[in-house]
Amino acid sequence: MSESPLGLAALAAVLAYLGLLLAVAWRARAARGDDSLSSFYLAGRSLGPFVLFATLYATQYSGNSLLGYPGEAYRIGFAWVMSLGFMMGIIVAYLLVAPRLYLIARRHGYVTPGDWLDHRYGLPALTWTANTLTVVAIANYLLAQLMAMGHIVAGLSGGAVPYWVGVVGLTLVILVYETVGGMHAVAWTDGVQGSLLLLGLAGVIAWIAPTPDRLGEITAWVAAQAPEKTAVPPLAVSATWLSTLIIVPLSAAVYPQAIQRIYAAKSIHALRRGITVMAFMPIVTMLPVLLLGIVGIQQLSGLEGVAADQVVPLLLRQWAAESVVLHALAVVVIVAVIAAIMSTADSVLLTLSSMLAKDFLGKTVLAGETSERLTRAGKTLSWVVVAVLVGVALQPRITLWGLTEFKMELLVQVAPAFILGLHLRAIHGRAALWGLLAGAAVALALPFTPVSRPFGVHDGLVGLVVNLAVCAWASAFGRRSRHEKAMKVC
Amino acid sequence: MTEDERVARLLADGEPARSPDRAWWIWAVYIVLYGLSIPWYWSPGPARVWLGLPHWVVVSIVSLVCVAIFTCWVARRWWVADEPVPLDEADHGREAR
Repeated sequence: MSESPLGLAALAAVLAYLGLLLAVAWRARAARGDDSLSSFYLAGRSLGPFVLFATLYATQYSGNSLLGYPGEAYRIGFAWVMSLGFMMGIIVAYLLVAPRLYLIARRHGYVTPGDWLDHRYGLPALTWTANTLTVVAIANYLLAQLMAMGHIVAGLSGGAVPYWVGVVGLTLVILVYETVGGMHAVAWTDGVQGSLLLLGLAGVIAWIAPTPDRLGEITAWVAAQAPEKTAVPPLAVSATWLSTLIIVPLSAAVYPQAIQRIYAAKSIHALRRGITVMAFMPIVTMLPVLLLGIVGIQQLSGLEGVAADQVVPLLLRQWAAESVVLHALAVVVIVAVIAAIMSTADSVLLTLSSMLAKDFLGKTVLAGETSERLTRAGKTLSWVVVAVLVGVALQPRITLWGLTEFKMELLVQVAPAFILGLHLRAIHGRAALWGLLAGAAVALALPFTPVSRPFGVHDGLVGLVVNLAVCAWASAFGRRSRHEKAMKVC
Repeated sequence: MTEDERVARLLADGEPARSPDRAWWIWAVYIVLYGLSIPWYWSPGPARVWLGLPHWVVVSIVSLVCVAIFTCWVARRWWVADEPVPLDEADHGREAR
């Protein structure tokens, strides 16, 4: 590592950061109560406004945001300002979900998103299908985070620390603190990680664009060398933009890790304040990320496909070689990037573990077991899942944004059953199931046909339209089950 | 009143008294603001530079800042919430299984 372009300072900073995480997790262990599911996975429904905001923020902004998104900005230019819109759209979508879901979840003591589907529809086939799709999608998301860990470590060290060491080493730290402290540890470490992320982004803005004049110079350079990256985008790009604006917020609104944070809120007040502050975070976060990609166009050339995901590590190495101040700034940004990746990975892993333990094992081989027994099974499963995903992450063949799109296109198919079920009593369980199956089939099949991505629209959005049409048709002509007729409060 | 009692009261009639999803005009405002944030209405061609950024990017960012401010206002005015109350210990005993 001492031979790496960023040297011992970066190594020391990363080690200090990892030490801090473990110390916070150890402290969180003392705050954790019993080993029940709600205590371990929802911090006993005790998250106040600050911790809730911190964990929402650190979870939403991930390795995709800080490595994949600058890579995409590098590839397509200023049109990537669409990322501000869809990240903000996630918060807007929360307004559709959180106010009612919080109340119902609190009253009925939900732990996983599947609890809502079970309660609303009483149709095991729907819950199983939605849970399976969700688990596949978020396992994919976790995979993207593990790959991001490898990319950042390998990129920053100039290959001195291999990709696999980054993947395995940082994953081990997450597993340890998560097993020790559950949601308490994850939320508290998210506080540390979110603060570091903001600090790093402030440094990025200070360096890239202290004045509009400096920003103007960069824009003028890009306009001269790659005019298509600053010009008004063609209508096809606007169509993709609109498609992304629909698909990302709707799928992110049903992210199980986000749903569990709604469940974990201490009060409506805490949840409302956390979400209110989150509305401004896309501006603070995604604008520096966009500018990083744009600066990359000016300072780095020839990165194609997966290689563009290395924009941030390459820029940091370049800056670190320029001056002592920039070296220090680069070290702060490195820690911020690693914090962003780990804070998302830990949240996704915790949620994955809770779903596998409660929704799958708890309804089959561990049916009737105590809450504590399921929690222990979930902890063990975390290690197994991670072992499998690390194996896959060691063979990266797809861009980080590519992985994100695939996850969104699958997950958005769960949105009608989940969100419409909150607001429309007319939606039936069987109708939601047929819609989900039809939508998922279209989203998965279209990429293999010549009509994939018609007019720049995501295949997942085409699937969503089919999903909604089938759901509406079947609800109009089908009959509600006895369970649904008996439900007084949705 | 505990948080659980407050939740029960808000759900007493099967619907919260006031919620963002029950005002159609809120979503119409979002559609207008998001419509402005997508550069479909600009003529194709080279960009002018405003404040160091392409003009259509500046318009997009301003639209999104309006979305953020509007979201903040909606959450404060249209999402019913009372003062927070510590969680009742009894919650641990009745989690869904």
